[in-house]
Amino acid sequence: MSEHEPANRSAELTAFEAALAALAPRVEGFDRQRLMFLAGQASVLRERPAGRARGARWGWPAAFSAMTATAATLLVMLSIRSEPTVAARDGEPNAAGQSPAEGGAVGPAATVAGPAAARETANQAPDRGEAASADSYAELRERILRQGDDAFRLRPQALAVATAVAEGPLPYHVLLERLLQPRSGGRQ
Amino acid sequence: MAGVGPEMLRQLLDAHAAALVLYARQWCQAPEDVLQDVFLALMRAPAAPDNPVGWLYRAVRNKALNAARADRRRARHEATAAEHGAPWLVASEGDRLDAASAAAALAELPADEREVIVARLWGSLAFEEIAKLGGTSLSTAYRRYQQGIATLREKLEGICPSTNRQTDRPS
Repeated sequence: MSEHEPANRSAELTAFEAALAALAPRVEGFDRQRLMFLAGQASVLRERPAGRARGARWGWPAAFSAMTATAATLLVMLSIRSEPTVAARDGEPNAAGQSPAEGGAVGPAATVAGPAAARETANQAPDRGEAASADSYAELRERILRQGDDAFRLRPQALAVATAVAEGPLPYHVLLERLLQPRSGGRQ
Repeated sequence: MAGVGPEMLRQLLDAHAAALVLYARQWCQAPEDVLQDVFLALMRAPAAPDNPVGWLYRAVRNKALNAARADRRRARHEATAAEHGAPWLVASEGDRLDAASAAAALAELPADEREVIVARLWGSLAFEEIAKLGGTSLSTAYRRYQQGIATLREKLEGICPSTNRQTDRPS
Protein backbone atom coordinates (compact mmCIF):
# COMPACT_ATOMS: atom_id res chain seq x y z
CA MET A 1 0.00 0.00 0.00
CA SER A 2 2.83 2.32 0.70
CA GLU A 3 4.12 2.26 -2.92
CA HIS A 4 0.72 3.51 -4.07
CA GLU A 5 0.74 6.50 -1.79
CA PRO A 6 2.51 8.92 -4.18
CA ALA A 7 0.12 7.97 -6.98
CA ASN A 8 -2.87 8.41 -4.71
CA ARG A 9 -1.59 11.73 -3.45
CA SER A 10 -1.00 12.95 -6.99
CA ALA A 11 -4.46 11.87 -8.08
CA GLU A 12 -6.15 13.44 -5.11
CA LEU A 13 -4.10 16.60 -5.50
CA THR A 14 -5.14 16.84 -9.11
CA ALA A 15 -8.76 16.32 -8.11
CA PHE A 16 -8.49 19.01 -5.46
CA GLU A 17 -6.92 21.40 -7.93
CA ALA A 18 -9.65 20.66 -10.43
CA ALA A 19 -12.34 21.22 -7.81
CA LEU A 20 -10.74 24.48 -6.79
CA ALA A 21 -10.34 25.65 -10.36
CA ALA A 22 -13.95 24.81 -11.06
CA LEU A 23 -15.06 27.57 -8.74
CA ALA A 24 -15.84 30.60 -10.86
CA PRO A 25 -14.29 33.94 -9.99
CA ARG A 26 -16.82 36.58 -9.13
CA VAL A 27 -17.17 39.10 -11.94
CA GLU A 28 -19.96 41.48 -11.12
CA GLY A 29 -18.85 44.98 -11.90
CA PHE A 30 -17.28 44.16 -15.21
CA ASP A 31 -19.28 45.67 -18.06
CA ARG A 32 -18.26 43.73 -21.11
CA GLN A 33 -20.39 45.71 -23.55
CA ARG A 34 -18.94 48.98 -22.37
CA LEU A 35 -15.46 47.62 -22.70
CA MET A 36 -16.11 46.49 -26.25
CA PHE A 37 -17.42 49.95 -27.09
CA LEU A 38 -14.42 51.69 -25.56
CA ALA A 39 -12.10 49.23 -27.25
CA GLY A 40 -13.64 50.14 -30.60
CA GLN A 41 -12.96 53.80 -29.90
CA ALA A 42 -9.41 53.01 -28.87
CA SER A 43 -8.79 51.05 -32.03
CA VAL A 44 -10.00 53.98 -34.16
CA LEU A 45 -7.62 56.32 -32.36
CA ARG A 46 -4.82 53.84 -32.88
CA GLU A 47 -5.45 53.62 -36.61
CA ARG A 48 -5.42 57.38 -37.15
CA PRO A 49 -2.21 58.38 -38.97
CA ALA A 50 0.29 60.08 -36.72
CA GLY A 51 0.99 62.89 -39.18
CA ARG A 52 -2.63 63.80 -39.48
CA ALA A 53 -3.09 63.77 -35.74
CA ARG A 54 -0.09 66.03 -35.32
CA GLY A 55 -1.42 68.38 -38.00
CA ALA A 56 -4.81 68.53 -36.34
CA ARG A 57 -3.12 69.19 -33.02
CA TRP A 58 -1.15 72.19 -34.33
CA GLY A 59 -3.54 73.47 -36.97
CA TRP A 60 -5.88 75.39 -34.76
CA PRO A 61 -3.22 76.99 -32.54
CA ALA A 62 -1.29 78.07 -35.64
CA ALA A 63 -4.37 79.63 -37.22
CA PHE A 64 -5.28 81.33 -33.97
CA SER A 65 -1.77 82.76 -33.59
CA ALA A 66 -1.71 84.04 -37.16
CA MET A 67 -5.06 85.78 -36.78
CA THR A 68 -4.06 87.29 -33.47
CA ALA A 69 -0.85 88.67 -34.96
CA THR A 70 -2.76 90.14 -37.89
CA ALA A 71 -5.29 91.78 -35.61
CA ALA A 72 -2.54 93.25 -33.42
CA THR A 73 -0.73 94.64 -36.46
CA LEU A 74 -3.89 96.28 -37.78
CA LEU A 75 -4.60 97.74 -34.36
CA VAL A 76 -1.14 99.29 -34.17
CA MET A 77 -1.46 100.68 -37.67
CA LEU A 78 -4.82 102.19 -36.78
CA SER A 79 -3.49 103.82 -33.64
CA ILE A 80 -0.44 105.42 -35.27
CA ARG A 81 -2.20 106.59 -38.42
CA SER A 82 -2.00 110.39 -39.12
CA GLU A 83 -5.01 112.72 -39.19
CA PRO A 84 -7.32 112.65 -42.20
CA THR A 85 -6.08 114.77 -45.09
CA VAL A 86 -7.75 116.55 -48.00
CA ALA A 87 -6.56 115.71 -51.44
CA ALA A 88 -6.56 118.33 -54.18
CA ARG A 89 -8.00 117.31 -57.51
CA ASP A 90 -6.37 117.91 -60.85
CA GLY A 91 -6.68 121.50 -62.16
CA GLU A 92 -8.27 122.81 -59.00
CA PRO A 93 -6.47 125.53 -57.08
CA ASN A 94 -5.31 124.60 -53.64
CA ALA A 95 -5.78 126.61 -50.52
CA ALA A 96 -2.99 128.97 -51.44
CA GLY A 97 -4.69 129.92 -54.68
CA GLN A 98 -2.17 128.07 -56.78
CA SER A 99 -3.01 125.63 -59.45
CA PRO A 100 -1.28 122.28 -59.24
CA ALA A 101 1.09 123.33 -62.01
CA GLU A 102 2.07 126.49 -60.14
CA GLY A 103 2.56 124.65 -56.96
CA GLY A 104 5.62 122.86 -58.27
CA ALA A 105 5.80 119.81 -56.08
CA VAL A 106 2.07 119.65 -55.67
CA GLY A 107 0.75 116.66 -57.58
CA PRO A 108 -2.65 115.24 -58.24
CA ALA A 109 -2.83 113.63 -54.86
CA ALA A 110 -1.06 116.39 -53.00
CA THR A 111 -2.57 117.25 -49.69
CA VAL A 112 -3.06 120.45 -47.79
CA ALA A 113 -3.11 120.95 -44.10
CA GLY A 114 -6.84 121.44 -43.75
CA PRO A 115 -9.51 124.14 -43.41
CA ALA A 116 -7.63 126.13 -40.78
CA ALA A 117 -4.60 126.54 -42.99
CA ALA A 118 -6.81 127.48 -45.90
CA ARG A 119 -8.44 130.27 -43.90
CA GLU A 120 -5.11 131.58 -42.79
CA THR A 121 -3.76 131.60 -46.31
CA ALA A 122 -6.79 133.43 -47.57
CA ASN A 123 -6.41 136.12 -44.93
CA GLN A 124 -2.75 136.56 -45.74
CA ALA A 125 -3.33 136.98 -49.47
CA PRO A 126 -6.52 139.02 -49.85
CA ASP A 127 -5.54 140.57 -53.21
CA ARG A 128 -5.39 137.44 -55.21
CA GLY A 129 -8.89 137.85 -56.44
CA GLU A 130 -10.28 134.41 -56.67
CA ALA A 131 -10.38 133.66 -53.00
CA ALA A 132 -10.44 129.95 -53.02
CA SER A 133 -11.43 129.55 -49.46
CA ALA A 134 -14.37 131.93 -49.33
CA ASP A 135 -16.81 129.26 -48.43
CA SER A 136 -18.42 130.48 -45.35
CA TYR A 137 -20.61 133.49 -44.85
CA ALA A 138 -18.32 134.92 -42.17
CA GLU A 139 -15.31 134.85 -44.42
CA LEU A 140 -17.22 136.36 -47.33
CA ARG A 141 -18.51 139.13 -45.11
CA GLU A 142 -15.09 139.87 -43.74
CA ARG A 143 -13.62 139.98 -47.22
CA ILE A 144 -16.30 142.34 -48.50
CA LEU A 145 -15.80 144.68 -45.59
CA ARG A 146 -12.10 144.71 -46.22
CA GLN A 147 -12.06 144.91 -50.02
CA GLY A 148 -15.32 146.53 -50.95
CA ASP A 149 -16.52 145.92 -54.49
CA ASP A 150 -13.33 144.21 -55.43
CA ALA A 151 -14.47 141.31 -53.48
CA PHE A 152 -17.10 140.65 -56.15
CA ARG A 153 -14.66 140.44 -58.98
CA LEU A 154 -15.34 137.36 -60.93
CA ARG A 155 -12.96 135.16 -62.68
CA PRO A 156 -12.49 136.05 -66.32
CA GLN A 157 -14.14 132.92 -67.54
CA ALA A 158 -17.12 133.36 -65.31
CA LEU A 159 -17.25 137.03 -66.30
CA ALA A 160 -17.43 136.06 -69.95
CA VAL A 161 -20.32 133.79 -69.31
CA ALA A 162 -22.06 136.44 -67.25
CA THR A 163 -21.56 139.02 -70.02
CA ALA A 164 -22.88 136.66 -72.57
CA VAL A 165 -25.96 136.16 -70.49
CA ALA A 166 -26.42 139.91 -70.24
CA GLU A 167 -26.23 140.29 -74.03
CA GLY A 168 -29.28 138.22 -74.41
CA PRO A 169 -29.91 134.81 -75.74
CA LEU A 170 -27.14 133.55 -77.92
CA PRO A 171 -27.06 130.51 -80.11
CA TYR A 172 -25.83 127.39 -78.55
CA HIS A 173 -22.73 127.08 -80.69
CA VAL A 174 -21.57 130.58 -79.78
CA LEU A 175 -21.84 129.89 -76.09
CA LEU A 176 -20.05 126.62 -76.59
CA GLU A 177 -17.20 128.29 -78.43
CA ARG A 178 -16.81 130.87 -75.72
CA LEU A 179 -16.71 128.28 -73.04
CA LEU A 180 -14.14 126.24 -74.89
CA GLN A 181 -11.78 129.15 -75.38
CA PRO A 182 -8.67 129.10 -73.24
CA ARG A 183 -8.83 130.86 -69.91
CA SER A 184 -6.18 133.41 -70.80
CA GLY A 185 -8.05 134.44 -73.93
CA GLY A 186 -10.59 136.47 -72.06
CA ARG A 187 -13.74 137.81 -73.62
CA GLN A 188 -14.04 137.81 -77.42
CA MET B 1 2.72 43.76 -36.76
CA ALA B 2 -0.94 44.81 -36.51
CA GLY B 3 -2.68 45.69 -33.29
CA VAL B 4 -5.23 43.62 -31.46
CA GLY B 5 -8.45 43.27 -33.42
CA PRO B 6 -11.99 42.92 -32.10
CA GLU B 7 -12.08 39.17 -32.62
CA MET B 8 -8.91 38.64 -30.64
CA LEU B 9 -10.21 40.94 -27.94
CA ARG B 10 -13.40 38.91 -27.71
CA GLN B 11 -11.46 35.69 -27.38
CA LEU B 12 -9.21 37.13 -24.68
CA LEU B 13 -12.20 38.42 -22.77
CA ASP B 14 -14.02 35.11 -22.95
CA ALA B 15 -11.03 33.08 -21.90
CA HIS B 16 -9.32 35.28 -19.32
CA ALA B 17 -11.52 38.10 -18.06
CA ALA B 18 -12.83 36.26 -15.01
CA ALA B 19 -9.41 34.93 -14.01
CA LEU B 20 -7.87 38.36 -14.50
CA VAL B 21 -10.49 39.93 -12.28
CA LEU B 22 -9.69 37.39 -9.57
CA TYR B 23 -6.00 37.96 -10.11
CA ALA B 24 -6.38 41.73 -9.70
CA ARG B 25 -8.74 41.36 -6.77
CA GLN B 26 -5.86 40.13 -4.64
CA TRP B 27 -4.44 43.62 -4.51
CA CYS B 28 -7.11 46.18 -5.21
CA GLN B 29 -10.74 46.79 -4.51
CA ALA B 30 -11.81 47.70 -8.02
CA PRO B 31 -10.39 44.93 -10.20
CA GLU B 32 -12.96 45.53 -12.91
CA ASP B 33 -11.64 49.04 -13.46
CA VAL B 34 -8.12 47.70 -13.62
CA LEU B 35 -9.12 45.13 -16.17
CA GLN B 36 -10.91 47.67 -18.32
CA ASP B 37 -7.89 49.97 -18.35
CA VAL B 38 -5.59 47.13 -19.26
CA PHE B 39 -7.74 45.93 -22.12
CA LEU B 40 -8.01 49.47 -23.45
CA ALA B 41 -4.25 49.82 -23.26
CA LEU B 42 -3.98 46.60 -25.22
CA MET B 43 -6.29 47.98 -27.89
CA ARG B 44 -4.31 51.21 -28.12
CA ALA B 45 -1.04 49.39 -28.56
CA PRO B 46 0.21 49.78 -32.13
CA ALA B 47 1.27 46.14 -32.26
CA ALA B 48 -0.11 43.08 -30.53
CA PRO B 49 2.29 41.57 -27.97
CA ASP B 50 3.91 38.26 -28.73
CA ASN B 51 2.23 36.66 -25.74
CA PRO B 52 -1.02 38.53 -25.16
CA VAL B 53 -2.03 36.44 -22.14
CA GLY B 54 1.27 36.96 -20.38
CA TRP B 55 1.14 40.63 -21.27
CA LEU B 56 -2.36 40.91 -19.79
CA TYR B 57 -1.37 39.29 -16.51
CA ARG B 58 1.72 41.44 -16.19
CA ALA B 59 -0.21 44.61 -16.97
CA VAL B 60 -3.01 43.70 -14.59
CA ARG B 61 -0.51 42.94 -11.85
CA ASN B 62 1.29 46.25 -12.27
CA LYS B 63 -1.88 48.28 -12.46
CA ALA B 64 -3.50 46.53 -9.50
CA LEU B 65 -0.39 47.06 -7.40
CA ASN B 66 -0.35 50.73 -8.36
CA ALA B 67 -4.00 51.03 -7.45
CA ALA B 68 -3.34 49.37 -4.12
CA ARG B 69 -0.47 51.72 -3.42
CA ALA B 70 -2.56 54.67 -4.40
CA ASP B 71 -5.37 54.14 -1.98
CA ARG B 72 -3.22 52.58 0.78
CA ARG B 73 -5.94 50.19 1.67
CA ARG B 74 -4.46 46.93 0.62
CA ALA B 75 -3.80 45.55 4.10
CA ARG B 76 -7.15 46.65 5.37
CA HIS B 77 -8.86 45.22 2.33
CA GLU B 78 -7.17 41.85 2.73
CA ALA B 79 -7.99 41.71 6.43
CA THR B 80 -11.59 42.56 5.72
CA ALA B 81 -11.79 39.97 3.00
CA ALA B 82 -10.32 37.33 5.25
CA GLU B 83 -12.61 38.21 8.11
CA HIS B 84 -15.85 38.31 6.23
CA GLY B 85 -15.08 35.73 3.55
CA ALA B 86 -15.58 38.16 0.71
CA PRO B 87 -16.97 36.27 -2.24
CA TRP B 88 -14.00 36.21 -4.54
CA LEU B 89 -15.47 33.01 -5.91
CA VAL B 90 -19.07 32.20 -6.68
CA ALA B 91 -20.74 28.86 -6.40
CA SER B 92 -22.07 27.10 -9.41
CA GLU B 93 -23.84 23.83 -9.98
CA GLY B 94 -21.69 20.77 -9.52
CA ASP B 95 -19.06 22.42 -7.35
CA ARG B 96 -17.37 20.00 -5.02
CA LEU B 97 -15.99 22.78 -2.83
CA ASP B 98 -17.85 25.41 -0.89
CA ALA B 99 -17.18 28.65 -2.72
CA ALA B 100 -17.33 30.92 0.32
CA SER B 101 -14.99 28.73 2.35
CA ALA B 102 -12.60 28.38 -0.56
CA ALA B 103 -12.61 32.12 -1.11
CA ALA B 104 -11.96 32.79 2.55
CA ALA B 105 -9.14 30.27 2.63
CA LEU B 106 -7.67 31.75 -0.52
CA ALA B 107 -7.83 35.26 0.90
CA GLU B 108 -6.02 34.14 4.02
CA LEU B 109 -3.07 32.71 2.14
CA PRO B 110 0.19 34.65 2.01
CA ALA B 111 0.15 37.03 -0.94
CA ASP B 112 2.97 35.37 -2.87
CA GLU B 113 1.42 31.90 -2.55
CA ARG B 114 -2.01 33.17 -3.44
CA GLU B 115 -0.73 34.93 -6.53
CA VAL B 116 0.89 31.76 -7.82
CA ILE B 117 -2.21 29.68 -7.15
CA VAL B 118 -4.56 32.12 -8.86
CA ALA B 119 -2.31 32.46 -11.88
CA ARG B 120 -1.90 28.70 -12.12
CA LEU B 121 -5.39 27.43 -11.38
CA TRP B 122 -7.61 30.12 -12.90
CA GLY B 123 -5.19 31.73 -15.33
CA SER B 124 -3.73 28.43 -16.56
CA LEU B 125 -0.31 30.01 -16.81
CA ALA B 126 2.81 27.88 -16.95
CA PHE B 127 5.15 28.02 -14.01
CA GLU B 128 7.74 29.75 -16.17
CA GLU B 129 5.33 32.57 -16.87
CA ILE B 130 4.30 32.75 -13.23
CA ALA B 131 7.93 32.98 -12.16
CA LYS B 132 8.52 35.73 -14.70
CA LEU B 133 5.47 37.65 -13.48
CA GLY B 134 6.54 37.53 -9.88
CA GLY B 135 10.21 38.08 -10.64
CA THR B 136 11.23 34.84 -8.99
CA SER B 137 12.84 31.61 -10.00
CA LEU B 138 10.91 28.69 -11.37
CA SER B 139 11.61 26.58 -8.31
CA THR B 140 10.41 29.32 -5.98
CA ALA B 141 7.19 29.68 -7.89
CA TYR B 142 6.61 25.94 -7.81
CA ARG B 143 7.40 25.72 -4.12
CA ARG B 144 4.96 28.53 -3.32
CA TYR B 145 2.31 26.79 -5.31
CA GLN B 146 2.81 23.52 -3.48
CA GLN B 147 2.72 25.24 -0.11
CA GLY B 148 -0.40 27.18 -0.97
CA ILE B 149 -2.23 24.13 -2.26
CA ALA B 150 -1.28 22.20 0.84
CA THR B 151 -2.61 24.95 3.06
CA LEU B 152 -5.85 25.12 1.14
CA ARG B 153 -6.30 21.39 1.27
CA GLU B 154 -5.73 21.43 4.98
CA LYS B 155 -8.31 24.14 5.53
CA LEU B 156 -10.89 22.73 3.17
CA GLU B 157 -10.36 19.12 4.01
CA GLY B 158 -13.37 18.72 6.22
CA ILE B 159 -15.57 20.72 3.92
CA CYS B 160 -14.94 18.74 0.78
CA PRO B 161 -15.52 15.02 1.32
CA SER B 162 -14.38 14.10 -2.14
CA THR B 163 -10.89 15.32 -1.43
CA ASN B 164 -10.81 14.11 2.13
CA ARG B 165 -7.86 11.79 2.44
CA GLN B 166 -8.21 8.73 4.64
CA THR B 167 -5.35 6.58 3.42
CA ASP B 168 -2.65 8.75 1.98
CA ARG B 169 -1.55 10.63 5.04
CA PRO B 170 2.17 10.16 5.49
CA SER B 171 2.81 7.95 8.43
